[in-house]
Amino acid sequence: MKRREFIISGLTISISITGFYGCSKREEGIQGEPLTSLGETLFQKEFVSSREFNKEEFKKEMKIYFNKLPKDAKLGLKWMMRFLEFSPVIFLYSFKRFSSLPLKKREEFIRKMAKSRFKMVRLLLFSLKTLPTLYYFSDENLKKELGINYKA
Amino acid sequence: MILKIEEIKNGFNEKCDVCIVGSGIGGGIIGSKLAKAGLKVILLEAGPFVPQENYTRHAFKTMRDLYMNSGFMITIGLPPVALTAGSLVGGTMEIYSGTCLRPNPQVIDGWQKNFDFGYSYNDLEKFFEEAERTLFVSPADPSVAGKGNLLIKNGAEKLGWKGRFIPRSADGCIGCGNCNLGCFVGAKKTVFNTFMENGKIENLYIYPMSKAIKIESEKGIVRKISGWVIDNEGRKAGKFSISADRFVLSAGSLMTPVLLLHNNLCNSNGRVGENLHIHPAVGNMGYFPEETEMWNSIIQGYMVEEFEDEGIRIEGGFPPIELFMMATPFYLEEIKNAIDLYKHAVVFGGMIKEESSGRVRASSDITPRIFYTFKDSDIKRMKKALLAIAELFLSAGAEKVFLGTVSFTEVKSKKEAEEVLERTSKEDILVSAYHPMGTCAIGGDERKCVVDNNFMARGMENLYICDGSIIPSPLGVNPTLTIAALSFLAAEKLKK
Repeated sequence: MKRREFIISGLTISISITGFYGCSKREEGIQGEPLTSLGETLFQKEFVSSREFNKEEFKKEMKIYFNKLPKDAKLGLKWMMRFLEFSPVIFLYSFKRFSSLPLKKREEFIRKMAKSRFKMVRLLLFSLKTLPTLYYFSDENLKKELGINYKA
Repeated sequence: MILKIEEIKNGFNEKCDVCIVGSGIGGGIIGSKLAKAGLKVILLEAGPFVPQENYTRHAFKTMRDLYMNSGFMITIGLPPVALTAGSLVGGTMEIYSGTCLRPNPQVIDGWQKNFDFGYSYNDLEKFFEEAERTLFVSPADPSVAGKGNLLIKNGAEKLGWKGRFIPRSADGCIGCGNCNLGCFVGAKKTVFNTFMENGKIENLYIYPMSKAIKIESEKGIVRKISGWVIDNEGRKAGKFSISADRFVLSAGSLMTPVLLLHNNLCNSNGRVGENLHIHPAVGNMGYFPEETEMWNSIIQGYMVEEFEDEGIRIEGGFPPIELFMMATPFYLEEIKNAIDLYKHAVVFGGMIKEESSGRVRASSDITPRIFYTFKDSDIKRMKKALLAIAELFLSAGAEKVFLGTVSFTEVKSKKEAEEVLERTSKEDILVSAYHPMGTCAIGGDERKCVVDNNFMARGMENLYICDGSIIPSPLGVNPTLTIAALSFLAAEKLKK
């Protein structure tokens, strides 16, 4: 294993462990932040459509989502969000959290994660984008704008 | 009658003749049959009640509020499987695609041979007929099936493969593609709008948002079932308790074993939660030159039965745009291109009658923890299904095919697909499943089965089980009709 890969693996494991043990219940509100930031980055205005990602509404809906999730799934999701939040250190060598990065930096970060040679990293991004994507595309008006016209 | 959440949110204590946990096809049929026979029946349902006109196209809210575990259910094992099941009054039928197929008679023969199941296919035949009649099962109407289904039909015919329009419980379907988010048109026939007469049967009391947790028993006799009423935001609101002469668990293949395991019941042979079968499904996307409008099609309208002998059934599976975008690995600028892909796409899946099995365990918050390990033979079959679907798409005129793997690899010929699949590792295959079954098998064999031939849970005197969990082996078809037939039989036993 090359030295760089060794350091990256070590950091990945450390962040994973921090995420696993650092998921206290009171942090649920904060925990939604990485997903909101991910949604905001993926679905910027004019990126997909004229509609931007509704952060406030998404946070509100995610709060209910968290309440309804079983313990195991909640822990898994929190772990993944923690990973996303703290991994700019691996991909951008930045000590800032993902959600505090400027938009352009977040884009760069997502590009690097999506092209990572580590399958686990790609899978993680893939899993994390599911919720903001599901939320964004559920908007009736957006579907109309994209030309998805239903017969009923 | 259906109780309103406002009436029950502070909790309740009730008495009845029969208390049923779960209002899906099993609980719904048994409950309505017994209520019509004059018994006071209480049906407990962990999910909400949604009137037909309130179903929407909002996939995020629908999955969060009406799917079990908010649609976030992944098996532990490689490859992981995304499992879905409904959690609302009427159960999974409310959000299923409408497919209704009988199992092959040999499957039931196998149960008799391997599990000492007490009934033959002939014994069940009249119940299959009744279920098909009540659910108005008929083949999908080609005039509303949509372009995608017709393209694939042509592709199958060119290859000389056996196929047909799928028999569905959706008389009057207009092909609006919203089956999996609830049929707001009212065309889909479900246990709720047929057998349960929209909740209007006298003596049948349906309690939504009431999650059963504790089964209090003494010397094999269940005295009470208690649990929590959950409010609309997923919080515990009030406690409830039901006393009854007889109890039925119909909470589904994932929750029924969890309830038994949590309460340390009926597990003297160690088989509760074992023998889980799921019909693993894989799928590809074909890109066609013309717009296919999957969103205005019957989600599951056509099937290819060419590989049935090998345990592979190829069926449509058209997702709404939000699920498509969610399940494809596109980011940032690529998303715009993915929208174009969606407009020209057809998605078909291959469902496997598997040899592998898994198990369900109860986690501390009384939700299922699911373990599933694939045998190599099933991995081979999944790859074979992916290859066959790719061939089918190309024959139907697809310009390219995206294989259902993590990297969503694009191929343009059968040979290319073969090469890619050859080097695809098992953890790279994207697998989903919609038919959990078998975790409390029925039969006379005491070593293998949790439920006896009278639908009674072993070691108990007044606790019955009837839902997908009692199906002892994979059916190879959607389990709706089989659960319905078994539920008619169970209702007859319970009436006596």
